[in-house]
Amino acid sequence: MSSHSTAKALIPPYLLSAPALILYLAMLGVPMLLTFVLSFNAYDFNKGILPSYSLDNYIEIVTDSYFHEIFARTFGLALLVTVICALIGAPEAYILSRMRNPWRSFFLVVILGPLLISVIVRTLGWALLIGGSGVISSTLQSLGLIDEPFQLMFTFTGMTIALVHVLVPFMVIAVWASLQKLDPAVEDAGLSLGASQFTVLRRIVLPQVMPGVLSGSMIVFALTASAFATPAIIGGRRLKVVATTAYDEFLSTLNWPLGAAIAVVLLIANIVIIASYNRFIERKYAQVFG
Amino acid sequence: MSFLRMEGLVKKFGDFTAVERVDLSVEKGEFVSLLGPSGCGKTTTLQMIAGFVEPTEGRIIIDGRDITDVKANQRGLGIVFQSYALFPHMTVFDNVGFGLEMRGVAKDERRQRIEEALELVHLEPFAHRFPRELSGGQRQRVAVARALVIKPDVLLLDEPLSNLDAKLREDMQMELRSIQRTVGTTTILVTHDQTEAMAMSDRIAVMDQGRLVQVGVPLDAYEAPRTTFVSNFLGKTNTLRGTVASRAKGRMQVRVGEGMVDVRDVDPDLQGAISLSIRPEKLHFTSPADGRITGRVHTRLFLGNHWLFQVESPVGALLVTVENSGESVVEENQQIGLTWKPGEIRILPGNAADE
Repeated sequence: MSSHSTAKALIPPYLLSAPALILYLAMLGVPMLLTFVLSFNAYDFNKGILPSYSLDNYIEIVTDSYFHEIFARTFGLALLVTVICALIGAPEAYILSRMRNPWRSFFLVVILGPLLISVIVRTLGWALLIGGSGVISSTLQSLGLIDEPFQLMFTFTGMTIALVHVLVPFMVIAVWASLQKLDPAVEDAGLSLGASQFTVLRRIVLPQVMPGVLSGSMIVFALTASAFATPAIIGGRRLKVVATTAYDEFLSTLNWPLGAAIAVVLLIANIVIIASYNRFIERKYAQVFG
Repeated sequence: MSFLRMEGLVKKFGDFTAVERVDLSVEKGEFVSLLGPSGCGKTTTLQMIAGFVEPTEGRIIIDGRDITDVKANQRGLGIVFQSYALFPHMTVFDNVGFGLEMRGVAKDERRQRIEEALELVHLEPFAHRFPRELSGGQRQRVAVARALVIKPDVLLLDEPLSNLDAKLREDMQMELRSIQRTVGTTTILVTHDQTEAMAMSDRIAVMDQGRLVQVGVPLDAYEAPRTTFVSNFLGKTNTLRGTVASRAKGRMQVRVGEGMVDVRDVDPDLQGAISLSIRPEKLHFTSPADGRITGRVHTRLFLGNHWLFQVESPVGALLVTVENSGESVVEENQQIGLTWKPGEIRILPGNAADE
């Protein structure tokens, strides 16, 4: 009787969450599953996708140095962008937390600004700035500071700059959150014990906001590793990353199974990196911050 | 020559004067409390001594050295913060050792001094815990050990007990006082809690609206408050505002409300509006016929070690406390007389008293 009524009581919640659940499964779950299945299909340039299944696509990715280079570039880029974002974002958040209104609100909007603009528009903006005939290059040339056109388009540096620009807000927000938990008196306590301002920052403030820096890093790393629009526009075909490679396999080569396999490898690599990083953070800070 | 001197300290924040001409001298080894309600400027004064707030005017001198322009991290003072401000990412041991490390004390000596400091506050077994693994009282002790281990010239305590519950607070008062006696460090305590200030200090300095209104031994300040503010702030008191009606043969008749109070004429300069102040424990019940004033018991509260009465009388409502001797003294609604010993009523000029 009671189990019957319990089961009955559970129906409305399930019904209520059903639309979202169905949408989620249909729009995300099914395509991902299909992609996963697709990645095992064989492919022939003349006949298209073959109905046979094998690990050939994965073997190709693992053995071909062409893919090694792309994966190395992607994770190298993700690491570099993450480090730069931490170096810029952490001090930025600290300075911001020390500001008073209205300046604080103003600069917060400025920092979050990049998130409000479409990624395509923003990246094309960077292209206009850093291209060979772009604003920076032509200004420097007309000032006589450089002779040759200054080209950052289709370079690793250009990609890094554009990605840091859009991802730094995530770092600022993460560090900002942990700065809010900081007791302002601990800095005074450090000073009163004879520490210099710099030592207070390094030994007292930084260790306490480190969890914020680390969780911000996780977000920035994951977003960079899977970024598509910015590498596609600024890196182009010359500097492929994993996401643009998968895109090209799907839309230019039409080798869907290989594209799917690349996407799956990227997803798994990302999950493994993020999950082990998260475990590391949790273990490190469990005792201190609870 | 006193050890710590504040000379004409002034702090203005824009138009607002937080501290107005504070002059205070503290002897070596003395325990002095800055006492006052919130916003009286006591914390700002402490922050100026600590070096976190720059005085607008005035000087601070420690042991003959003018430290007014010395940076906070060069002053060598020990500070215990209201929030304790422990470093949450360091163990108790490292928290206490931080100041020594900054002073470049060698590792072996550091270890020895940290252990001594932890022993002083009875925290040796907790050396390797993190602050969040400690209770409020234990954190408090870590903060004290951390401040004292650097052998500061002056120890500053900023409302150190306000985050503890009542029972623990009393224990810590005793302990802090005994630690201070042991190490002999000159100490300034900032608090809004008059019992705490009176219990712990050699002298108290009562502040109101940025000024020092009375500095003295706790007993003197309590028994002989200079203003009604001080007398109200240092424990409960009955303040009767009245006017001098007549005086004769060294006595003075003061009209208060609908009644008359007969007091000694202490000062012929007292004219017009004056205040009479008497503490609740100085009023005693008698029969209505023997009382200097008569009244009716309105409410009676039993508070364990004493009774608290509210008495309605022609001069207004009066608070009376009577020590509990094991039996009931008077009942509610009973008609009673009230008396006091000569000299236990304080007479203050009416207008000056309100400042």
